[in-house]
Amino acid sequence: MVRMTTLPQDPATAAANQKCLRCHALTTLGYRNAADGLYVNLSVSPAEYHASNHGKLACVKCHTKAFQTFPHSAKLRRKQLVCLDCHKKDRKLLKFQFPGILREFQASVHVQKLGKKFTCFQCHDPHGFKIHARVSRRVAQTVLYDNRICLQCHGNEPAVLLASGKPQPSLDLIHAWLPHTELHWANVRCIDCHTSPSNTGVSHQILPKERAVRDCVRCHSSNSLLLQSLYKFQARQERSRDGFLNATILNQSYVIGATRNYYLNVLSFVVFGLTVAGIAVHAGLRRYFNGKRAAEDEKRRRHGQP
Amino acid sequence: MGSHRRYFYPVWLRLWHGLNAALFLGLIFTGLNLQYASASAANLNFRAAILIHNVCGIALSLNYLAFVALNAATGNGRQYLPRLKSIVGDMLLQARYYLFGIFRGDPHPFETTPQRKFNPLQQVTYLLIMYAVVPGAIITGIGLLAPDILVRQVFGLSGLTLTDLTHTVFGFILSLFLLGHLYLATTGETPTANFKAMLTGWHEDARVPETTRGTNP
Repeated sequence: MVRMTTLPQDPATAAANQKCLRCHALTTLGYRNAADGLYVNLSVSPAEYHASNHGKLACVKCHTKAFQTFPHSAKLRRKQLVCLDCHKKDRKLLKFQFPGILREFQASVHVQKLGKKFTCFQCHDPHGFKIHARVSRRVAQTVLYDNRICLQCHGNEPAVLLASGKPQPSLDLIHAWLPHTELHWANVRCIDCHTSPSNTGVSHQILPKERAVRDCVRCHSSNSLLLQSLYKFQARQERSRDGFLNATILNQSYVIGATRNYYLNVLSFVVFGLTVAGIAVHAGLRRYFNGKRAAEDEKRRRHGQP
Repeated sequence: MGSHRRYFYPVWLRLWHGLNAALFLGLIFTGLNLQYASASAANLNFRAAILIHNVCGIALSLNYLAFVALNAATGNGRQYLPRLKSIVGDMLLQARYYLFGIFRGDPHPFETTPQRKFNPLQQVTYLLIMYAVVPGAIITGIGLLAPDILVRQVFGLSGLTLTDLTHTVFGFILSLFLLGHLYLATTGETPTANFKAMLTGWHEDARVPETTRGTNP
C-alpha cells in the first residue's frame, strides 16, 4: 500500500484516486483494439503519476466523475480528452502559452499529415508528464527526456508504419550527414532542428523533414539558434560569465563557433595586430636603411672612392 | 667576394616543407572559418570547412610522422639542436643582428652551411614549434576528431572545451609563427634568396670574411 504522507495530493483526492488505482495500477491492465490491432495500455504507474506535474490532481478532474462508476460506459470510453479544456482557462497556466502551443501544434507536420488521429497524448503521457526545459539546470537530462518522446514513435518501426503508411527510415542513415551524430543526439534535442523557433516555451510546430535545420551555422555561430531553443530558459538567467560568449551553452556543452572566449578573442587580435605592425615597421626600416646605404655607396662610387 | 652556391635542401625536405605549408594554410583558413562561423556569405560552408580541416589535419599529421622519421633517418634532426653551452649568448647575438645589424647591412652573425642551416634563434623556435606546438595541435586535433576518447570533465570544466581551447591557442601560435617565418625568410642575401633556395634546394649567398661572424657550432 502507498503511504499517504508521501503523496502530493490532499487526503480526500488521494483516497478517491486510490479507488481508480486499485485496477489501473495493475501493470498488465489493457486490451488489444480490434479495429487497428494496437495494444491499448490502461495501466498507470502510481509512482510515476505522483511524481508528474499532474500528480496532485484527482483522476476524475480530467476523466469526469462519470468514470467513478464501474464498469465505465462505452460512450465514456470513446470520449476524447483534450488538454486545452483545462490548460486554456487556468490563469496559473497562462505563462505556458497553451493557445500558442495549440496553433503551433495544428500547423505541425504531424497534424497536417495525420489530422485528428494525432493528439497531444501521442507525445505526452498525461500520467507521467513532467516539465523539463523550463526548470531543468541539466540540459543533458532535458535532451534525454525530450528525445525519448520522439523516439517513442520514431524509434518504433511498426508505429510509424501504422500511422503514416510508410516505413520508418533508419535514423542513423538519414542523420549520417551530421558530423559526430551521436554527440549531437546527446547534446541537442530532435526538436531543436525539427521545429521552427517560436515564442512559446517549447516550439510545437514540428516541421516536415525538408524544412529541418541543415545549416550548421544556425547553431554554430555567435547568434546561435540554441539560445532561442534548448538554452532559452537558461540564457535568460545567465547571459555571460567568465568572458565566454554564450557562457550558458559552454557551461553544459561545447559548440564550436558559438562559444568563444571574449578575452582570448581580444588578446588574439591584439597579438596578431602587434606582430603584423612589428613586421611592417621592421620591413620599413630595412627598406629605408638599405636605400640610404645604396645612396651612400653610389655617392662614394661617383667620387671614385672604394 | 663571389657568389657561393651550396645544396641545402634535399628533395624529401622540400616536398615535406611544401606539403606542410599547403596543408598549414588550408588548416588556418578553415580553422578561422570554424572559429568565427557565421551565416555570412564570406564564410566557407561549415560542413565543407570541417571536411577540409579534418582531411588537412590528418594529412599534416601523417606528413609530420614522415618528417620525424626522415629527420631521424637522415640526421637532419640534429639541425634543430642548439649548442646548449652558449645558447643564450648565441640567441642574443642573432637577436641583436635582427634588431640593429640588419639595418646597418652587417653580415649574418652565423654562417649557414649544409651542416648548420639554422641560426640559434631559428633552432630554438623550430625546435619548440616542431616538437611541442605542432604535436600539441595534432594531439588535441585527434581529440576533437574523436571526442569520445576525451576526458569528460577536468576540474569541473568540459574536457571538450579545454581541448578545443588548447587546439585553438596552438593554431594561433602556429599562425603567428607562419607570419614571422615568412618575413624572416626575406632577410636572406636578397629578399627572395631563401624562397628560391627552398624551391631549388640550392642556397646562394655572397661570401663574407669569417672574422666578422660568430663561431659556427
